[in-house]
Amino acid sequence: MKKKSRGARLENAKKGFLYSFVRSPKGMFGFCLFSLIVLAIFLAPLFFKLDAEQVYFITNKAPSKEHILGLDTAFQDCFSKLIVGGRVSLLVGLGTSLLTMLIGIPLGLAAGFYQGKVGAAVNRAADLFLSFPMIVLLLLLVAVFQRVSAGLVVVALGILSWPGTAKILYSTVITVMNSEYVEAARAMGKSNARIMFTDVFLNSITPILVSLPFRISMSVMMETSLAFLGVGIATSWGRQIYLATQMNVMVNQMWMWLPAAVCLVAVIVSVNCLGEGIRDSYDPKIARR
Amino acid sequence: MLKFITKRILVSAVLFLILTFVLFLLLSFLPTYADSDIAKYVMEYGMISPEHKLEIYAKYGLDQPLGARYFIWLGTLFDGTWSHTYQNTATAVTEVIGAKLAPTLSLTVSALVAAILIAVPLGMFAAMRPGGIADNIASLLTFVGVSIPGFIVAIFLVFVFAAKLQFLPSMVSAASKYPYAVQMILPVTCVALTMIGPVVKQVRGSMLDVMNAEYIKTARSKGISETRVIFRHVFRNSAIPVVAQIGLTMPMLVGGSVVVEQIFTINGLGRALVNAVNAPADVPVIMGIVTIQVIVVLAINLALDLVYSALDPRVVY
Repeated sequence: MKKKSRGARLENAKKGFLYSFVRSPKGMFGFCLFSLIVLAIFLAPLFFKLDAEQVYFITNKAPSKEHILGLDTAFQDCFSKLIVGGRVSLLVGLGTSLLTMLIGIPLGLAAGFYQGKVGAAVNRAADLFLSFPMIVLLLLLVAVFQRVSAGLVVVALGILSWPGTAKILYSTVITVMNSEYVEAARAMGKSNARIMFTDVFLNSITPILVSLPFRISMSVMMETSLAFLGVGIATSWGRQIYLATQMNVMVNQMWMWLPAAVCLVAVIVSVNCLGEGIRDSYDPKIARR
Repeated sequence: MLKFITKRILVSAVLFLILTFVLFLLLSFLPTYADSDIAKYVMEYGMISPEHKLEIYAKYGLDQPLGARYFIWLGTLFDGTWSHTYQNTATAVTEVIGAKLAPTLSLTVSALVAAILIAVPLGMFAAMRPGGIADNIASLLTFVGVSIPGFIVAIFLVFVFAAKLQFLPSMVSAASKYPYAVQMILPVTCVALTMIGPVVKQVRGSMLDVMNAEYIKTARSKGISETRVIFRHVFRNSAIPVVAQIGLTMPMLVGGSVVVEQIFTINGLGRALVNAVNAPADVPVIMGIVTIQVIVVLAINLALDLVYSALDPRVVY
């Protein structure tokens, strides 16, 4: 059965990327769920009056007509916090991935193209950043800059996760450099810069683009983990889920943390499914070998 | 071989120096214990004399310029103290770290062992019958490991096993009525879950790769039993990427359990680091923990290269 579906996938892939993607259940599920979440988060402010800062002086914290998800331990509206937190998490995830590519792509390309000393330097630098459990360095960076803003978290995460992108690109560029069309381009007398961009870069960018969704979900996970530890963004979903570490809140006041936890898992699962759908449709050979 | 090892150790040493110096530089921007001591003194007496200020700086060794401080710190790595903590200038950093190392290692090492014991057989079965039960369990575990953040897994486990069913403790503490091993079940499960996924995936993937190789067909056609083919020929030849994958999870042994330590109140390195980072920063403690981290990572990378050549005679340095 598995074999058949794989064959079908191969057939689909031959008919083009979109044709195949629309027919992959995983990809479409991820796409729909993710679109739904994004729409909800960015359209909700148009329909509801949201204020995540406002403190309400009422004793009943449970969900009610005025506060559909209730109030949290600081007497602030959970629904507003959920929407605002979602926006922060998604934007940080996206921003981080873009910054990662911005740093990782030039370095990886240069390393693979020139190899030798440049390659060694980039690879050693990547090792330096990779040889560190990410969360440790982040704790330090946030402590150094004292103030935590979404921008700082993006910068910190981006600086720390570029080695992944650079190494993926480096390995593809190296194989592309040995290909005959690069040799042909050289024989035609093309300049180094032109070979680098038109021949090498465009032929080795696919793995990076395909891994983009996974990078986004990874960044969202890192961001919320940081917030959970109390060193990240205060409005993040991670901070809401942190309330569950109090036994009483965890069991008796689930409205304070469960929606954020469910949303977070939904975002990561949908982005990962979307990513797998894209990867499978783009190249069924690398899917589930 | 010897030349290779010396070269690697030299490169590692340079990396170590760069890394620790940059860190030292960054940490020097943080408000120090000296600053808060001076602030406290000013609060109490209204003013402070320059001599007394200097005295306070000298107490923490902050009267020296940055470069000198770095070299003094490097020197203390060799006298067994690794400098003294700011919180109590009579306590050596190694004492503090020594006390925190055992809880962290007992958490992460048992998690790693559990993860390997589950992941390797599971990956093998998954590879032997793609689409079978083992394969589905493997997919599920990988999915959980990749798609659900560690702290949510931890909260979910505590919610189910500690709050609702009430047969496992939600915290690790000396005063608990449960034995230590029982207290560690939930935290170890959390850490192991994050490690299992990638290893299963790698075992399955590389075994499938090897199974399609010509020499496996040859082995089968010689009439060797299937078990022998799997263990002697397939498993051994697919071990390298698996070892690499396990090696990649090694840095987590020291620093990867920060979140889990926080949730289950385990007094390990992760919690010590979070505490030391919170202002005012206890720079020597931070430097000490990072030093352990970096040494472990660099040593593991070196060890991995040696293991490769043991597993695959073709790899020569």
